[in-house]
Amino acid sequence: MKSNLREIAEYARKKLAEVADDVVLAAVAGQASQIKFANNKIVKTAIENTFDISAFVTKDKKILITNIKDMPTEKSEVSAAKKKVDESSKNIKKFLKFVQPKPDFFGIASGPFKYKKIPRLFDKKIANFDLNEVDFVQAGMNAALNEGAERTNGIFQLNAADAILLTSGNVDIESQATSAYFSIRALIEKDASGHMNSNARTLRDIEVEESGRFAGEIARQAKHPESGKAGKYDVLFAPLAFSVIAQNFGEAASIFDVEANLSFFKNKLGEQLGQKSLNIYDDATIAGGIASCEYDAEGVPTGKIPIIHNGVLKTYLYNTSSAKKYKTKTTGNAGLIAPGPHNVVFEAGTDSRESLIKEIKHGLYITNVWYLRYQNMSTGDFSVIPRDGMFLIENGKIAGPVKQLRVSENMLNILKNIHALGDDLKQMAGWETSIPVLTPHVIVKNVNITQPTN
Amino acid sequence: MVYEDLADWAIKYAQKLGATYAEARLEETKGQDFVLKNGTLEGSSFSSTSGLGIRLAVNGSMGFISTNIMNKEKVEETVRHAIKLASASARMADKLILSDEKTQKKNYQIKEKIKLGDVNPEKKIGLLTEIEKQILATKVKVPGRFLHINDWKTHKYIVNTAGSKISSTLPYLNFFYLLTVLNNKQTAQRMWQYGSAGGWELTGKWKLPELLASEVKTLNIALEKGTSPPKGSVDLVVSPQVTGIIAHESCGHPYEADRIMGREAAQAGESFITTDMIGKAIAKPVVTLVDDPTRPETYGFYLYDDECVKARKKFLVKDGIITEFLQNRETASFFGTKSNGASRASEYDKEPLVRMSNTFFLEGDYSEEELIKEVKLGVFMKSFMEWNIDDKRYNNRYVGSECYLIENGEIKTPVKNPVIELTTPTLYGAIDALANNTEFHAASCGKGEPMQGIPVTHGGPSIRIRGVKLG
Repeated sequence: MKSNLREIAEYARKKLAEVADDVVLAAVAGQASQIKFANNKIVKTAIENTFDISAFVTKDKKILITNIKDMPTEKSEVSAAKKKVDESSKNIKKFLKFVQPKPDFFGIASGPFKYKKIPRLFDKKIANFDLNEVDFVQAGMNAALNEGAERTNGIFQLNAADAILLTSGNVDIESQATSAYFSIRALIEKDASGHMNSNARTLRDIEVEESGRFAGEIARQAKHPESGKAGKYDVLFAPLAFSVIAQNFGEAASIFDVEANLSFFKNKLGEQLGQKSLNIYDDATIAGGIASCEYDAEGVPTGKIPIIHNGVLKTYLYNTSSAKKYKTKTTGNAGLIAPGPHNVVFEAGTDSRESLIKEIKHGLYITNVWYLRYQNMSTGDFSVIPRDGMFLIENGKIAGPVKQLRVSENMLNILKNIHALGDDLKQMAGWETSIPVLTPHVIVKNVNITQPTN
Repeated sequence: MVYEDLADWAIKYAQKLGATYAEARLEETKGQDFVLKNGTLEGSSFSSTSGLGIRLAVNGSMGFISTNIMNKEKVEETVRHAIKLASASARMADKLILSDEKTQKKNYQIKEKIKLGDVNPEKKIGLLTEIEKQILATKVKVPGRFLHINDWKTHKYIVNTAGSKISSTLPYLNFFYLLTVLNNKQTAQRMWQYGSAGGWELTGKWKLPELLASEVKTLNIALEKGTSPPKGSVDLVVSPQVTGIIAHESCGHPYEADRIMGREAAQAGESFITTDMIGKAIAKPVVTLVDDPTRPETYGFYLYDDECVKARKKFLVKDGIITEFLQNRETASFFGTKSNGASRASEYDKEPLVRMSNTFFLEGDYSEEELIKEVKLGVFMKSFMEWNIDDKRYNNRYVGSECYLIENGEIKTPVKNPVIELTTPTLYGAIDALANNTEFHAASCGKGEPMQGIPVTHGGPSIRIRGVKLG
């Protein structure tokens, strides 16, 4: 561990424990690099360095979250850093006087715990930042241009972080994490585009050329689209498109959302919500998973949690306190205020994308969507707009590109009408997908599609 | 500010290493945050951050660095790393040219009548519990009550190698709610936001307890008595809340010059507006839209942007004609014009982009009643819940929340969830009259990658839209 991270974190845990019942202290030293490209040119490069210490403290069921700013980071500055902690401790004590208790708070996890190592979460080459990032950008861009793209836009980003989690519940864990993200949108003329992301924790797993090729190929096929028509369609969603919708199945499983009436899963535990073949997990243990981590925000070992098993809603996602409230066990999904999913994972099917297209008589192939908004989160009514290549499917074949349509649907309907899943599981996270999702191509039957009046 | 010397030193150091231009933006922010869920205080927080963002041009390539480790050694190391990466990128870089702008030196601030930092946290929590009390007192079934209040004050110091120095101190207050009303096994949800630069005195104007109590009663009546909206072609009158979101989504965004030149195509998208559309009609002559950051008591207020350019009111559409785009120094150079001061970054660790500030329709001469009086069959959309628009800002959708049937010029029964789904030219072309009841509403606007959520205001008066087919 570089800098004085551990020494300061240990001192802070000890000091804050003097004024609190529970303390969770998270310290992260991070570094990132980014290249942004537009119209086939690099338009920005960026380097970021951060050092953050955040603290969750409770006293007599009062809950407070704070951070310690301007923390001196060098080995020689430990005494100055300790002074910062002392100051923060005094402020916390003062602030707690004003806060009301949360009667249904039942404490944090008690450790120590044993953790199982997850493969492919750290890559020394990324952490050393001694790469030629421009080569990655050029390779992805060229792959799209070779497919016929006229313009390429996107981003290549590397992140590395050293983290330490210390709690008053005997949790003491250090970790090192890296990630790489490549996003490319290929454009041709006025109306044709294709998009693909690649998310990985190591350089071995990042797919810049494959992403460029896919984006370029979709853009080429999307040339000269016709206005689509409203109606009911069987829709084949590509992984990028489906991840935007599917992350909501993870979010809606949070007990926080259920309690706040922000979940369409409320009062649905044990109900058959999808076909018997449908399995959706929250899995923080996936090798190379974007949000994979051996432990959650209070240090509880994470696992593979079946949210939908054989089509039935099996569980909500809990932290220690909310689990105690509902007399169940934590699922390892803290969030100290709101539990939440790590990686939402769909169990893949056996069909290729081409076989799935063959199954559809009258449908659409949607490769990307954006701007999902709810009319009602408790019923699941929402709409989302396809962007990039969208294609009409007639009698098992792509019939041509279409534009200007909207998916106007309900989340429970989508779940119920998931008909088939492909064999091509892809990890997706990015601008529209804040919760990482691993999903293949998916057919959803009978999807309501609307269009604007010209 | 404590680290001004560090910012001054950093741009000189960047120049020494070969940067032809450098600009440093130092930010110190202190804030508090409270969440009340169904009557329970879920969490409280106070935070304090400081950080430095530096933009530099080297070999014609633009580099950006950010750090919250505020010492010379770390800044030095990060600048060196940034120059190495920017130099390596030069072979593929777009030649960075910034428009020449006047050197500016200014220190400005917003004065709080009641300082947010002086208001006891108990009082802030007390406002949330008072709202909760008033909602419960309505006896309407409201199983979901999510209330969030936060405030922060940011000191900003921007300095560049062209000699500009801008200091500002801006306090902000923000309130967000999401309510679920239940009636006869049906639910309706409503979320909205109030926010502005200013002090605690804003809460006196917002009257939040009364407002939210009234909101749940209205939602309950709509659930109980709401009927289906009329079919076929009808007229619409929409209130300032709906007018505002229309102004933001289908005028503000597509008039951002960086979208038009394709710089943000990967995520935020491009625009259906093209450069040759300047001077062309997009609406009837009654329609004028502006973006004005200098308007006080707004969420998007500022007097100098994050490139030290003086802010001004921009007419995006004047008398129905497209007149001006939102520009920063990079887009202004591309379009051969001057920046109009639209460059902002959400935090120290983000690059400045072309952003809206306060975007609104200028009002007309009618009263809202007069707009309604001339409608034979139509819908009055007072508020909305679901909305979205495609990434070229052409395909709009707004789904009503509190809405009423209009028959023969009179407001009748509530109608449930009418859907406006129109292309932007169709929507703007159908606006035939504007009222004189302008309101401004706060929002957080998203753009950029990494995503930057930035405070904006949108608004205008009630407007009438003729001959719309509702979904």
